[in-house]
Amino acid sequence: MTLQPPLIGVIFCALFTLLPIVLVTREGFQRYATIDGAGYALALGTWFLCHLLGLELEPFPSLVALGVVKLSLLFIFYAAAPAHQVCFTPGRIGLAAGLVYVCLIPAMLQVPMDGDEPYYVLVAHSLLHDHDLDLRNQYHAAAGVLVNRPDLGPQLGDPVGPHGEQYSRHEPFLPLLIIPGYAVAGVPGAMLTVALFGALLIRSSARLFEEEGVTDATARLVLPFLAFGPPVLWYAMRVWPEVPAAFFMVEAVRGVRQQRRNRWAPALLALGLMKVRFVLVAAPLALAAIARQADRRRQALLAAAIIAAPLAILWIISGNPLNVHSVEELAPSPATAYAVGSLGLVLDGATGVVFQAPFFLLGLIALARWRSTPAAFRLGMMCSALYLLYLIPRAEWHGGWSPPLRYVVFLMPLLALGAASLIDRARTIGDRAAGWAATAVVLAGLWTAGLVVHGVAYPWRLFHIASGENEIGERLSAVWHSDFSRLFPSFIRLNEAAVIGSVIFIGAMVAIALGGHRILVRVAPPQLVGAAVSLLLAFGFKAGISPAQVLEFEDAHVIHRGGALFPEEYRVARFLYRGGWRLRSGDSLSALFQSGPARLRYSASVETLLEVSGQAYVLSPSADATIDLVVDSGSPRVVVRCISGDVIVDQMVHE
Amino acid sequence: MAWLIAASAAWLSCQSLAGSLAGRTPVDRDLPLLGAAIVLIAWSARRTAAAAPIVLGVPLLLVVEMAVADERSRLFLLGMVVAGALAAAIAALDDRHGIATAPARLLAMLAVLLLRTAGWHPQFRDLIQAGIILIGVAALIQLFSSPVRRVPTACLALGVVIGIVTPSFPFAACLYPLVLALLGLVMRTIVREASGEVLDRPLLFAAASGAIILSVAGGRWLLWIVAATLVAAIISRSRSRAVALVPALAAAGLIPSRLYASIASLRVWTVAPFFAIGGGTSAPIVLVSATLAVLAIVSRPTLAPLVALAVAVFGALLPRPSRLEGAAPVFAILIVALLAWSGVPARFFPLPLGVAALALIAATALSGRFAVVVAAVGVALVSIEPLFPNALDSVDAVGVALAPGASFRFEGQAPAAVIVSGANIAHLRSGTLLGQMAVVDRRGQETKRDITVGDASDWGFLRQRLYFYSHNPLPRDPRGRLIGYGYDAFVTGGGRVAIGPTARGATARITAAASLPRTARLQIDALERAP
Repeated sequence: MTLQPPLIGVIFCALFTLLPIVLVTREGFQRYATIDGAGYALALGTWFLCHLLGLELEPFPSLVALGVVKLSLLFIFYAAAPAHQVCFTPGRIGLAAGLVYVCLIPAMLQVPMDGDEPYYVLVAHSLLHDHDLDLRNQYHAAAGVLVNRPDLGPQLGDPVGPHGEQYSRHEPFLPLLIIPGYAVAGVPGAMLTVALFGALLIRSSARLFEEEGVTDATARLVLPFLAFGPPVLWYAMRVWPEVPAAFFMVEAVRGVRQQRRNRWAPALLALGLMKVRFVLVAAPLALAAIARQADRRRQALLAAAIIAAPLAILWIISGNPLNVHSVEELAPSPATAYAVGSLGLVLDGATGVVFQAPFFLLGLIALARWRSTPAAFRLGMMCSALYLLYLIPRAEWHGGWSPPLRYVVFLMPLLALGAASLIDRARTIGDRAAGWAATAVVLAGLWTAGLVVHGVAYPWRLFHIASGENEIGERLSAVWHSDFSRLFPSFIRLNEAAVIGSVIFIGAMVAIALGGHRILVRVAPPQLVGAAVSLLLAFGFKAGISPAQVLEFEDAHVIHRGGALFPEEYRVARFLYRGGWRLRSGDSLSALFQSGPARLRYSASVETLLEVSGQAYVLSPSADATIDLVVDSGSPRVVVRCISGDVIVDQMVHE
Repeated sequence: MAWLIAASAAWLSCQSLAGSLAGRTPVDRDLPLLGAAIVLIAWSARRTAAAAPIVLGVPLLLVVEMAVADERSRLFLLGMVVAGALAAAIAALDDRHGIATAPARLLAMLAVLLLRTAGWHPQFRDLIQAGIILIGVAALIQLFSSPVRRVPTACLALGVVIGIVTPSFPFAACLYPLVLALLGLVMRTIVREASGEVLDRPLLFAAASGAIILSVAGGRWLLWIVAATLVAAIISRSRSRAVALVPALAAAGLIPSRLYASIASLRVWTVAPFFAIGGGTSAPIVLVSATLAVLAIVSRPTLAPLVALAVAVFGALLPRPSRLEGAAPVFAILIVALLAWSGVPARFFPLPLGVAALALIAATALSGRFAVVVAAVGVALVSIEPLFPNALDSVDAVGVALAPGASFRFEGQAPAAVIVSGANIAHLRSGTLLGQMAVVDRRGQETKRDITVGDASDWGFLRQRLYFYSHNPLPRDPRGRLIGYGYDAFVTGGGRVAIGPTARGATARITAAASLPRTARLQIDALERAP
């Protein structure tokens, strides 16, 4: 689907006319109109200046940027205006979120569905038209038409029925939920259904904030980050189970806290039905609910039924109550796997909270101030511990082929609650602490705005091949032809930055837990944050343009003249392979690399003659071998050329 | 102390980055100056919650510098970051009555200093001139300060605009802001008398004398502005208000026909209702504004903005309803955004599009209940943006200069349009014939189109050294190229001339007018082929 200017105009017009009507009161309207006018004036001024300077603007990304600026202005007003000038009710903020999601659906439809998404749609189609879960006919005939993916076939390990039925590995509850929308409007209707859950999630989160004593001013500041920032935004406009699951999670936590069976029981049931992995969250929550109820025996029976129901359904469909999973997956893994997964979810440049949803770092920091956090936050995080312990040692901890932070989307409302409690507390301590909080929020806001523009304007870039690089690192590397990716922590391809980042993060968390943040706030005024970040950036840049000590041959900074990426870009579970660059006779590449002795790791099927900075080396055939070399080309740029043979060069490390 | 550390860190980090980048532009080399300026802007708002977040502009500058390879985009974004910091400070400091005078003065002077000096290497002469201009700007901000020591943000923006529009050549033109401040003082004294206060004769005399003396030093054009203002002010004290209304309304009706006086007309239209609804204190301002508006019409195009801005200064002295101030931050943001990093837009003030944007903002701010409708119009305007063609697309360079009487025949099919400019024609007035374009179709039928000053201008008439003396207007359909950096930058005076759809097989020829001066040339910069 290609977005045409009139359609974009209509959507833009509708959204930015309706949003202030929903969120701003009559008293605040004139003031907001001025700010709104400022947005348009800025756009006109910018456009004119670009016109004058001969800068060619890409229409769609420019309009997305304008939309994000206007949305930011609206929510800055929303957070900063006096209470009588804005309408802050859970219903209205939920409605606003829903409006934005609905308007963004066409942007997501510009590219074919990817990841697990099309499978959910195919299951919904099969249920609707064939009244079964067998997808054979959909794969053969309909995938190209329905989801614009003629290449779609069964996923690796999908269950097969006794008569050759081809089932999807994905639970059928989400397809059931999207059937009405899909029946009415096809794929956009399915997306609309998920967007509806997104709106409900925001409404429910606003209620949760209210119930947990978060002040209105802070809720007005935090909720837009949850609603319009990654990762919720990425999943609220796509057919993934994450946003509905987040909604059921919030409802379940609210129900347990309020001891309202009518709320937690259906929510937990739905959560378990959504994905079998969520049973690991639903079970502890059910236990917590039982512990709080007077009639424990009856509640225990109900809870058991709730936990058993999803497993029973899966057993009926696939013959295995855990679907494609097994109990062995719950067995403890090596400690390093836990360290990599847990720190990766926080710090990884491509898939970690710090880089992909920076605002929620405040929620993680709230973990260090455990006792001062709201009870719902503690309950939710404690009950998610089992799930996280199961998730983090897995090779796919980062989400696989999906937008970032897929497996922890359902935790975002709770992290937002933690962040809100932290901000509330900072505001009560004093001006300096409030200044720190404001600076942190603005920093996270700027980053978030950038992420949103990028993700909406180029939705296909939300899927990353998990190569150990990230978009920013790749961009900088491509601009400067130097390895900037090494500056971003990668836990997919562990690097030095990841180790340094982990030490800093753990140290900071320990310091905060011990009250060190009070000393910091007392000693350092908040204006030094910007200065410190500047110095860090300048230092990072210096480091980035210096020759690398570890050269990953497939990286963006390497200038490739021939050859090909290995494994190819869309290989299933590509992250399980060591990446590299395949060179055949005549192919070459060059990169900035420190001179001196080095060790090259490669894989060759035949004897290969490789020239490295003017010196030839014979590489014997091997699936995984290393060779010692001396890199001394007289310039920081080293050239690697394949004279004869066929080799996959993986990595070169300065010794 | 913390602010000093922050400024030093900003300077160091920017210096470190700028030092690593060889072969970049002068604006990039001035990155430390921009970094320190952002910290200074934050310091000016140090009593607000926005101060610390504004410092985050410094890392943003660094990110732009690192991540954006395209030169123009990068410079544009650097300007936007500084403009954003300035706008954030203004918004934080504005307490709906305006900004405290001291930070307003600092911000205005900083903005002018940055816009006039960053991105090029000013000589000693330029620095002295900038110093005088800054004194003038500070005086203007002081003039705009209310009895409760608050400066409306619109007035702050006006001060910045005056500071950057002041020509660099001739040197004495730097007295312009100071003269405006003195004339403003005269007008404020007269307005106060009209509202019942005792006339402060010594102040009036001193201000008027100062304005006259400075204008004598400044040149004839400045003397004209002073004379027109003082004469009209004297008349306004002796004549009835009804008499004053006649020229005001006449001028207001006439002015829209002239592009360059659009701001004057806006201001007069703003002022006139005050007179009509019985605001007796505004009578002197109305008459003076009307007189200056007439002067703007008869003066050469490059002088008109300077006269129009004088009207704006006097209009700003009127007490206005507070709801008008709602537009002020918007105006401020627009101004700083438009100035994003090139002095070039300064020479285009007031811009047709800028005026349209201003009108839209004013309407939004004033309409209240209808704001959504106005906003929707804004949306529509924004939505059609991508439909506008780019200034420089799909042209083939030609590069031919025709002496008077010489002609050039295009090979093959006649072009859809040509982009032409002049050389040594800055002194020619609008409408002077530059040449003729003739298209002959297959049947021998000839279509002719005159090319005049207005279709095209002197190639370099927007350069600092030429602009003030030039009689050329901006071409109707400008297609200039941007050359240089910072305040030293200019847009070439090329204009697009189309002859309408040409038949297949038609040929075209351009002939320079024989009446052109001997040294003048008609230059064919580029041509546009029919699609």
